[in-house]
Amino acid sequence: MTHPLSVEVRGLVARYADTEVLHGVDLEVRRGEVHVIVGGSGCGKSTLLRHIIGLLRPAAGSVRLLGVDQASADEPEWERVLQRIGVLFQGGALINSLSLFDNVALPLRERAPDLSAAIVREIVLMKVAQVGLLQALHLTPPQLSGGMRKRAALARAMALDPEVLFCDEPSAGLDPVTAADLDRLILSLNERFGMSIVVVTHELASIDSIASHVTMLAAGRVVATGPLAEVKRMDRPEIVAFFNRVGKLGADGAGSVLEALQRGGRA
Amino acid sequence: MLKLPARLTRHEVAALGAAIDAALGRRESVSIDLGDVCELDSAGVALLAGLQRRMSAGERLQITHPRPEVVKTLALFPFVDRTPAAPVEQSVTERVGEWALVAREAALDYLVLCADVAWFCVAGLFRGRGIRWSQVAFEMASMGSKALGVVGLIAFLVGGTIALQSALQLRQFGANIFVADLISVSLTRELGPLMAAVVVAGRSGSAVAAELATMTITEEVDAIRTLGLHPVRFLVLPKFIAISITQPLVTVLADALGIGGGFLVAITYLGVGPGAFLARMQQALLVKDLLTGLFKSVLFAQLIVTIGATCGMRTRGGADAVGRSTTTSVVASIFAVIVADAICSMIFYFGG
Repeated sequence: MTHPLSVEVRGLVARYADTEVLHGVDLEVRRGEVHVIVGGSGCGKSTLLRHIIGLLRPAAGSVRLLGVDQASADEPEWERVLQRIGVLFQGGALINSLSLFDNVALPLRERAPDLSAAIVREIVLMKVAQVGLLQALHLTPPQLSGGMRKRAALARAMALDPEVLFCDEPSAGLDPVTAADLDRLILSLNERFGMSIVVVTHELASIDSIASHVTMLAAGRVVATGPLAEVKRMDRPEIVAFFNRVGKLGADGAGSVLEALQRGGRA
Repeated sequence: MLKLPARLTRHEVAALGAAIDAALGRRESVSIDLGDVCELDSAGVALLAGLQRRMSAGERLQITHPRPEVVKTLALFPFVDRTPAAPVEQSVTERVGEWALVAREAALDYLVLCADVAWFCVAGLFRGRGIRWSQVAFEMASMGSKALGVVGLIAFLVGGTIALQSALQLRQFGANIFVADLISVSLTRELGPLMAAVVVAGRSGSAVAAELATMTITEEVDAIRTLGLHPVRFLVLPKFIAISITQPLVTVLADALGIGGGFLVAITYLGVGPGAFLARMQQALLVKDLLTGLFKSVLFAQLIVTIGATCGMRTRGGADAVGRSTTTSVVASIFAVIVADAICSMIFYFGG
């Protein structure tokens, strides 16, 4: 029986050396959701994602991915879980020495060695065509633009038809048209394949176009979680500031120089 | 008519391939019954796409009784009827030509960098903010003092080894005492500078190349340019000055410890008295020998830094390019040092 929750995080505490980055985070992603983790820079979004996919181990708390508890799973069991997920890293994380074709074929060759070369080739062609990169099939990642690298990485992440797709800042560094294209592609994967999708981003346009559910982080804590419309209606200051694009840049000083001059003397 | 099973996922497709091939034989027109198929993934779709690809021109794969969800899934995947051609392999001549062009470009880049370094060295002396002396001090500590241990140990062992090897020959002629000449002159003129340079090429030259390569691919060098700073003055010049100061000192240490190693072997194994060894060494070793070695050490050091910097700043691509640049830098530096040493030896030998 399939587990109803794709991702279940309870009381997650994350530390880098002595600095605590996440302070008891809870998160639930149900099957078929497009769950967007949002928050300002440095709030711990990417750290949370890296804990969910097992690249980092929690200092406290638990992470269950597709119903499997990360802490108690042995290596083969966790490997089987990893075969059922796909990850789109922020910079693409393609292997530079391999062509785009071989990058997408890599998980198929490694994880499904029984598939014939002809079937692998067909799958790669379909995935690459889905992201619109057939013309770049034989190029290597350094020969691709940033947007093409992201799309190629998405093709690789989809190669094994994952049940959950994790995307770390998918539209970062892309022009609005390519970013919107990528959003549409991600959304179609969810709609057509029922894939659960977890996206880490702070791009408001992306959030509005793809999110069914949102979890908002601020300073390493969850400040809100739920359907996008509900979260947007909440009147917590962090949420209002985030969705109204009101930042704290420059708020560290004690007013402007002009104000200081007008006040006279020290602030 | 071929009937496919209920599940057509990557776990079943691998086993089905051969059975389908056998069933189809050489038939050109095929009808496939998808009535039972209720689960289909990329591999299943790829199987059908592969069968369609095998049809001759104009013919279609007939699929019958597909369920609505199967039709939906099939509609999600594009059928690629024409694969882009792989790039044509270059011929040997083309590859040699391309290599020559790259080598020419690298040589030009190297000369430009050397010219920039030379210019900023001179100009820096007359401009208040030309040379970043605090960075020079930092680089001196990094390239010089931290290399002392490994250079000293290697020199000591090599000095002792040369003394041991030469003892076999010198003993036959009762010429043990000449081990002092051999050790002192060979180490100060040739081996001291060479050993120090090889170690520094592996240690500091690679570090220079890796640092600048990383800065280049992460656009830090471009950022420095856009700030109106010259990357050679800002990044390379402090390293160049630092190594030009520290390398002669490292070489003197290598000379001293190498002679020390030879001295130890001479007095313990060859029966040469310490006083006799030192007296002989004093006679054999000229100030010119020492200066020759020091001149070479500076030359080698400058070659190492400029080659490392050129390799680093020519880096294009991703993380693997950093590794390639670093390797190229070490190989090219050691090669250049040995060639320069041979040229210097010829000049000093024939030029007196």
